[in-house]
Amino acid sequence: MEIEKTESLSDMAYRYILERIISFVYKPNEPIIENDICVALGISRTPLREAIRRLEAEGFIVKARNRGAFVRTYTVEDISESCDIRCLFEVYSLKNCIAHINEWEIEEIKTNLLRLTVDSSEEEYYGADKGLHGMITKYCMNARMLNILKSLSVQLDMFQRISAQTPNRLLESKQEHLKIIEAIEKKDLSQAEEYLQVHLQNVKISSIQAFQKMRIEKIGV
Amino acid sequence: MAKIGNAKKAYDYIYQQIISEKKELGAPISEMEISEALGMSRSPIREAFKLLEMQGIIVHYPNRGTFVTDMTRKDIAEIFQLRIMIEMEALDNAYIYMDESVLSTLKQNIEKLDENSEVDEYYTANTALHKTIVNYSGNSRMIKFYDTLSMQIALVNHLSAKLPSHFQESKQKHLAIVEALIKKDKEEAAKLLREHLEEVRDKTMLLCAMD
Repeated sequence: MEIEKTESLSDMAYRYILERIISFVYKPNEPIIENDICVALGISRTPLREAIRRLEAEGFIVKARNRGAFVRTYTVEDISESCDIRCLFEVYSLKNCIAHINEWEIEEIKTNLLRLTVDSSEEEYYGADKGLHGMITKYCMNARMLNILKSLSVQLDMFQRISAQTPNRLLESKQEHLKIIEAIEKKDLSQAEEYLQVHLQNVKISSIQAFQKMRIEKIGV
Repeated sequence: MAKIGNAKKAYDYIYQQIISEKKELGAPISEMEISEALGMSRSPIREAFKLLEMQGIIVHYPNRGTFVTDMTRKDIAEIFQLRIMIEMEALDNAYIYMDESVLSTLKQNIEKLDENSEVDEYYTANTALHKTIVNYSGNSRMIKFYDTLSMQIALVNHLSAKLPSHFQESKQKHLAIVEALIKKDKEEAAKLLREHLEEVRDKTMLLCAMD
C-alpha cells in the first residue's frame, strides 16, 4: 500500500515539473527549488527526489554536484527523438494488430472518432486519439517495447497538447485517424503503414512548430 | 562521495558475478551476503540493486527476495526484436555518416582477433561495431534504451559464447558488415546485419531451450 502511495506522489511531482519545463514556466538553467515544489504539492522530499531522479535520467534535468538540480536547455531534438521512437514502434505493431484485431474493437474506435465535431472538447479528442494509438501498440506483443512507450508517453502527451493549439490540428488529426482505422479494417497493411507514418510525421511537425512558437513567446529565443 | 564509490563497486561486483556465472540466471542474491563479501554497509548495495533492477538484470519480488533475472525464451525474443529494430533504424544514418577512420578502427580491431584472443577481446570488438552503429542513430533516447537492452543482452550473450565455433563465424560476419559499410552499400550492410542478428537470436534461443 505504502509503496503505491509513494509512486503516485512521485508521478504527480514528475508531471508537475515536466509540464513546467516543457511550457517554459521553468526556464532553461533555472534551479529546481525542492522546497517550493514540496509546499505547492503538499508532499515530502522522498517522492520529489524520486521524480527528480527520473527527470534526470530522461534528460530534462541536470544535477550539479553540491548545487542541486537545474532545468536543462530544452530543444526540438527532445520532441523529435520521442516522436521517432514512437513512430518506429507503432508502425511495427501494425502488422500484429491487423492480424489479431477484433471487429468490435475497430467499431468502438471508429464510433469514438466519428462522434467528434467542432464542438467536442479537447479531452474528447484526446480520448479518441489514445484509443486508436493504444489499440495499435497493445498488439506489439513485447512487454519491453510497451514499457519504453509508456516511459515516453507522458512527454508525448504534453507535446501533443502543445500542438493541439495549432488551429485545425484536432480536426485534421481526426481525418488522419479515420484513414488509419479504415485501412486496418480492410486489413490493408501497407496502406495502414503509410497513413500512420504520415499522421505521426504530422504530429511531430505540428508539435515542433507549436513548441518553437511558444519558446519564442516565453523566453524570446 | 564515498557512498557513490561503494555503490559502483557493489554494482560491478554483482554484475561480474552474474556475467561470470558465479550467480546463475534465476539464482537468489542477498544484500547481506554481498555486504559481507565487500565489507560495506547495506545502503550502497541497495543503490546498486536499484540500478540493476532498473536495467532488468535482477528482479525483486516482495516478501520473497531478489533474484538474477531468469531469461525465458520470451524475454530473449523481446530483447532481440527491439535490438534488431533499433540497429536497423540506426543503420539508415550510420551508412551515410560513419567515416573511414571510424570504420577502419572497427575493422582493425576485428581483424586482430585470432584463435589466441580472449573471449573478452572478441566481445569488445563485436560490441563496438553494434554500439557504434546505434550511436549513429543520432537519437540519444534510443541510444539509452539500447544501452539498457545491451546489459540484458550481455546476460544472454554469454550463453551463446559457450560455443567455440561461434567466434570464428562471428568474426567473419562482423568483417563483412564493416566492409559493406566502407563501400557505403546500404542494402548489403542491412541484409548482413539483419541476417547476423537473427542468427545470434536463434542460437541464443536454442541454448536457452537446452538450459
